[in-house]
Amino acid sequence: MANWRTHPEEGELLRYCDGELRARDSARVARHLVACWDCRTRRDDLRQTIAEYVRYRRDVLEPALPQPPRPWNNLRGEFARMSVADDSGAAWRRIFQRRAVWLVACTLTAGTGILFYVGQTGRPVAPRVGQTSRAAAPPVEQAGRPVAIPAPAPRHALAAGPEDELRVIAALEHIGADLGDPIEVVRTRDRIVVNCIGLDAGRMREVRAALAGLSRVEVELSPKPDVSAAGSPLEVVGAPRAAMRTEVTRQFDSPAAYEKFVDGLLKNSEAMMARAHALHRLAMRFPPDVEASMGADSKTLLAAIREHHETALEHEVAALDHSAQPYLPPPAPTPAGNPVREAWQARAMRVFAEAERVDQLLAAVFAGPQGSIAGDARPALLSAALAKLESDVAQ
Amino acid sequence: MTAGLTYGQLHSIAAFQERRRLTPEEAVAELFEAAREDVYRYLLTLGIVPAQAQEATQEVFLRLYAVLRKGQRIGNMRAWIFRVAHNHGLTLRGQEQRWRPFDPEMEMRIPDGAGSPEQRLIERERRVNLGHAVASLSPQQRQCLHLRTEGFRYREIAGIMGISDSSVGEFLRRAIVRLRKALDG
Repeated sequence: MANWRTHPEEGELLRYCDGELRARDSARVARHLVACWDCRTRRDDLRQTIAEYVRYRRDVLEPALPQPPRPWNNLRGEFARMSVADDSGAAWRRIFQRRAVWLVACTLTAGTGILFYVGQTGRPVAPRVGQTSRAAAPPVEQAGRPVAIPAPAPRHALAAGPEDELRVIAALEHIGADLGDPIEVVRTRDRIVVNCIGLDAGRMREVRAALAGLSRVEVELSPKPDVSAAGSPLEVVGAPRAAMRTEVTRQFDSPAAYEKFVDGLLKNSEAMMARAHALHRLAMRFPPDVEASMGADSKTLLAAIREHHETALEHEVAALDHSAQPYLPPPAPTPAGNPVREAWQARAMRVFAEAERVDQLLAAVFAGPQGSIAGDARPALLSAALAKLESDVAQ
Repeated sequence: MTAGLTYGQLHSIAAFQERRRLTPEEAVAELFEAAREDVYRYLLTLGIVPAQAQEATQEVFLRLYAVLRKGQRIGNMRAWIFRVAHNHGLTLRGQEQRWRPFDPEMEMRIPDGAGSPEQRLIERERRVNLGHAVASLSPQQRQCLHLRTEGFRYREIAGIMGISDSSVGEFLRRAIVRLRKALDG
């Protein structure tokens, strides 16, 4: 509640204007703007600056950009060439695959022979110089954590790859730093740069410690954004709240009890969104083609992080549903469709969009300014959206 | 966005591909017609010289074709196109001489507005100041502004540029503050 009484920062106002704030924060800023002339003026200044830039871009910048020097090619010819190249490549692959089957069979036979020999004589086969044992350690179960982070595979080139990035993400996930901490992970040509924006010293130490064992990782600390323009605290206690006061508030002893209920609800929603964001970012970082190119250890690690987020998300959604559903109409029964087989990345994107919808409806129904979403159908919409999300995360 | 598409229109084309059962060739050819100018302009803002920007634009759509032909599905087609353009553009920028998208002579091209001579003079001065401020932005700030003006949301911009949502917000905030100062004189 303390945030109600302070002016929003410049960045928060910009996000508000852009519709980028979480529903809970957006509702808070909207309430503040109702009461604060100073911030309304700052918001109008921001909008005016954006409008001036857009006009400048349209009237000055874009006309000044050079036109393409040549007429555009007709890409259909290129498509045809690519199709022919792919088809001949596929023929080679078929031939190679047949040969590869023979190669695998021969290797297996030879391997079985060696094992049999070792079993008979009791003598291990000594590895040659430079050879390393390929026996991968099984995943280690830890309290609360699904698997241990495997050591990076030896690599001849110095390039940093998606598997290096995955180990950084796993280490950050291990300390819960992928749930809203202002930490940016960027893979450059030869390293993984972890940029921590405005983290306090204690958290920074935790991040450094978590990443200590990993090679080709660079940790940077960027200063916290300057928020001095935010101004002095302002009392706006008593600002109007809630679109759904009428029905629901009657079930509470006092407005304060209702406020407490809504705060809890929005906090649940925030936790749910943090999980949905983490899962969404994971899907963006490791799309199916990147995942397919990874080694078995990395795939296991990625699956463990994903499952951890999915399970936590399922719990968060269930908790939210448990709190909100008593005050909502029952969701309309949806026809049971055939489950669609889809990559987890696609499902993560879909679930993220559904979670966003729930987050927005929740704030509009219980905490938003009056009339932010028109019509009496809002509670029913929320009920349906929540039921859909709960069913999808449980799949 | 003169010849370009709005966010929704481009999504519609992706949806058309499903509904009309377009082949990858037909779908990408339609997208290329519709969105190539937007991608070309974005590559120019990255500092790619026009001839290379044009070639790179075509390359982006050929990659899209290759991906669709393999049967892969792309959730957000427009963001995918810009992400590939961004990565390809950065690779090219490292190799070649850079083009300056915001040259100092641009202020000569600022059109006169309406109103009295005095108002026109004031307006012109504001736009000159704004032009200088735009030119002084960091490349990331400029790219974020450009992509935001194209209608991308923060998380899409983050995906395109390979940075976090919070960094996008911070780049935009700094850019807007700088532009505001220039307009205030």
